[in-house]
Amino acid sequence: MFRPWGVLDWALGLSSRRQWQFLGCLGAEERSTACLLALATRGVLKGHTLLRVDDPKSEYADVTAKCLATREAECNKAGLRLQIATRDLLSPIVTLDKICAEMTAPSVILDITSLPKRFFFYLLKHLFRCADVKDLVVTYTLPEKYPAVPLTEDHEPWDALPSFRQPDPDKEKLAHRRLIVNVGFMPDGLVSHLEGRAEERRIDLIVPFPAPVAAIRRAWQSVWALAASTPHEAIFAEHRVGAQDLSEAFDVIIALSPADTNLVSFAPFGPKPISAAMCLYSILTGSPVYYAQPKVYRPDYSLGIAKSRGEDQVLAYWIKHGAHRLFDVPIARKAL
Amino acid sequence: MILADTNPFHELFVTDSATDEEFVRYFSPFLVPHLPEMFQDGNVVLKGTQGSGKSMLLKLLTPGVRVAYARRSEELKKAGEEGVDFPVLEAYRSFIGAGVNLSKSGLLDIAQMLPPEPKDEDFQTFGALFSDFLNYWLLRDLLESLQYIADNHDVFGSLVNPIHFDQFAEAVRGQDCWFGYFTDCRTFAAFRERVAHRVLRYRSWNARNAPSLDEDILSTKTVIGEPLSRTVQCLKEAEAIGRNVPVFLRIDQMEELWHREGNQAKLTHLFRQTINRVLGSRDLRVSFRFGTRRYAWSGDLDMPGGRQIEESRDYILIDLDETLRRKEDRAGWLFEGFATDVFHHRVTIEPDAEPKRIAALPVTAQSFFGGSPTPHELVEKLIVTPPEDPQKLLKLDDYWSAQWRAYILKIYNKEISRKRPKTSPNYPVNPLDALLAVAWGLQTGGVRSGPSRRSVPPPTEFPPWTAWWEKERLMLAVMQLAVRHQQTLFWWGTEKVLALSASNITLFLSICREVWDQWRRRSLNDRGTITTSQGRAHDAPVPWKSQAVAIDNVSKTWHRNFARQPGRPGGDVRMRFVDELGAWLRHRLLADVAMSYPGGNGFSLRNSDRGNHEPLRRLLEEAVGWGDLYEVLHTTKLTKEKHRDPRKKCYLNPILSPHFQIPEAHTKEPLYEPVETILRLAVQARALLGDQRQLVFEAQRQP
Repeated sequence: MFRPWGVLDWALGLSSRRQWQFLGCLGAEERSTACLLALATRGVLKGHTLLRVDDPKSEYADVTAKCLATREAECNKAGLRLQIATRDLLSPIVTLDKICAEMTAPSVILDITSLPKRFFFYLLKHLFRCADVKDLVVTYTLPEKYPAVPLTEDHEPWDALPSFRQPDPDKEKLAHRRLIVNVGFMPDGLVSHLEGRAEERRIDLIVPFPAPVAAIRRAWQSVWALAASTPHEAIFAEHRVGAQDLSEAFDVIIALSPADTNLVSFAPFGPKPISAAMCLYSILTGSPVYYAQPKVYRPDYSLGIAKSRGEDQVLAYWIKHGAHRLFDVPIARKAL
Repeated sequence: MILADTNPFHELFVTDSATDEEFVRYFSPFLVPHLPEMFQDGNVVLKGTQGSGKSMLLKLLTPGVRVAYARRSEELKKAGEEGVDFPVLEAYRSFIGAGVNLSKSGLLDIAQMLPPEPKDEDFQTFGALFSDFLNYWLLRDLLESLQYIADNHDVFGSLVNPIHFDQFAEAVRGQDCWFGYFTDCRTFAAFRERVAHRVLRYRSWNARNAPSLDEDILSTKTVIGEPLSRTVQCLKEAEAIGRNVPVFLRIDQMEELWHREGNQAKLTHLFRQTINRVLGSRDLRVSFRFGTRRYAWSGDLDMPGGRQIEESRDYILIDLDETLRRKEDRAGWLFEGFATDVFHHRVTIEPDAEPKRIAALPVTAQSFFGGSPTPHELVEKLIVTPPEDPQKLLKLDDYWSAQWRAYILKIYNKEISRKRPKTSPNYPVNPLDALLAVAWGLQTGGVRSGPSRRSVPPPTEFPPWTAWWEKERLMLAVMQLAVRHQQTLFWWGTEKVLALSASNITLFLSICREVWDQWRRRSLNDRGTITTSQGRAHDAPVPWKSQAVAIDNVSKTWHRNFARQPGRPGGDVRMRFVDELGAWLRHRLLADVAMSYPGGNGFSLRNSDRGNHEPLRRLLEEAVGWGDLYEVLHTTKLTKEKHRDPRKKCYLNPILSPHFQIPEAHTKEPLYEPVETILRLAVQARALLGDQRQLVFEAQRQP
């Protein structure tokens, strides 16, 4: 199935021009507001909400505050009167319900660039299911590079992302037979889970490729760490998917999932577009998603914004168009 | 003979996620007879660090494991071999087990539903919902266990009587503890289905698939524990189970209640109080079994209303770490026997598939690892070619008299020696005794601020020190010699392997795994087989170098592993603190040329100091809880504060000793260090932050 995605202007240009409600994150990273600024410049912004996510107290607090002030100043300079909603990183997920309730516009852009996974998964689930939202586009801005240091610290124990546990305990057991891992930079929580003698007997690694050279190197370091910690009896396989190819990742997940139950477990530790594919599949099938939430993110989690022909590399993925869902499990599978 | 394509230690952890068949394959029953409380009426809390074996012991209470033992036994007997017996005494086997894992069950997802600005009523409501969810989850598992036991009557005999299940349902449905929820459930099947449905409704609500909880749930919330006791009572009255059959309900991973922040932490504290109420109620109809990491059972013992639950009265505490730890009397050291049994169990089990490994295995842990070197032997391995100039090893300063220099050099050159020399005849010098003589000469002999011994002529006899003085300083001297010779310290042999394992079976297995791999790589013959030695204990099949390399690898791996663990703060933060501690201890040990503080691979803090510095106390407790550090009560020799202000002494986990190149043995008194020093190290490590740093300055201001 053709699911359009590409640079922002091209992707939005595939459909008639409309006004978009924007939901994103005011983060310390430079790229966090790139999409919002691009939409404002193009005059297609109906309204916006920026989530400011406060990490638990850390040594980076002062630097992070300065970076956030810089981002705000950049937006103000572009003439935006920022609508900011502040939430603690580990606050109960129902605290997002107020934001969800405000997302009633027919066309919504969810920018996942700097949103922590525990938030963007929940928001994407709501927007994907919400009948009022007819057009849904997910956006993601590429950074120029990542610093060669640990990007996060102090992770939480391995657990289901809020609202992404399979409700039926028996089905959850079935889902544990196969773990699909989005391989990324920070596998610590995952490694300690696997070392803790995980139940998963089949572990499929989605390795981002092609991807920037530095990212490839770090992803393969993670693969090595995971392989070394994987239980002896587990079957271990690698699958390469373009780091930004949400659509391809979704198809690979469908191909990997058992046709009888559709149930797998996910560990989204890698590139956000692949994590978004996992999120969509999970929403459709009830497959559980597990994560070890870091409590501290470096303010320089990424550096700069990737450019293409002088333009910021903001990628856009159509998820719903005219109330039609572009992501679904095959009909034949659904009947099973 | 052992074929080389297997490593029997590959599976390190066998937790509750292992299949029942795997459990039978890997479980060592050694500890079971030592923990009779586990299988008798009454509440038991099983506490220990990660990898201490808690979950394995709790899994023994599940009916699936018992069936797996029976099936395995049948298979073996069919093959003409001896069967494996369920490792619980016959007299204690007639129990019914059910349980919940707080992490995997999703019980705590409820905390995600707490309103943004919760009021006191919200906390009360969520506390009540948690109690109800926990009751129903345990009930669901108990009913499943009953059915499973009934379906496997060939294994369990008449433990349950399924003919009376419907009679039980009839009796239990009318109990007032349900508030009418089961009015229409007249059969066991209907009762089970309704219980499972309620669990599903809770989880659907947590997954936001349902906008709210059904009204029939909200109006029938149950009180913690009571429905479970009533259920067991009805089971017995309906004769569905025998009058004397104990019912054990497991609640594993209590530490999950500890890993929350902000309002969720307040809520999970309330959940913890709720669970404590189950213990405090002293209801004899049901016995609870709790599994918890150390840090999650050090406080928080209060119940709603204020009373605290009490050890021995409300529950029996089994501290696995303490149970396995070596005490002064080695005879009662359980871990040695446990590790030996686990080793034997692993190398003699048959793999699942065809018998790739031939079972003629004379290998024991002792014959596999062999003996550990004496300090003098270790020096000979570390300093293979002694330097021509002894000064490189002895570092004598200008204040040594000519007589003393001559005395020390004679010892070095083996011109003076003991009645029974400890060095090998072929080894040309004796740097270890010479360095001990240097330290002895630098000491005052116990006279505070008195002159050192080197201010008078050297002794004529050798050695001039007592056996105890020497024993406490040998490893420090070896460490100093190794550093001066730019050599790495090595560990090998059974004694050292057990010491580095710190009475933790997972650490022991990880050493076994790595040593086995090294041994395999170095010992493969043309046919891909390894021939083991069956000789004396010291005739170890694994060469010392292979062991030393493997143990060094394991130490580095565990340093990384500890850093990957979660916690409050997470492992990466804690290990920064441990790194600072390790570097500091090593520096102190190397600088102590007089060897006045040979126990300086650990430090002692007063409990009052910990109490005055709450963030540091929490950091230390967390590090001990995760096994990064190791802590014991310190019976101080400072008579003034012996009873007034107790102390605890703290050491790095012994497995990290090779990583930090510090002796692992805990001899003599640790460093009596002011709390400010430890605080400073924590701040340097960025493990205490922000306003917590203020505490350092406050501490510095204190007299």
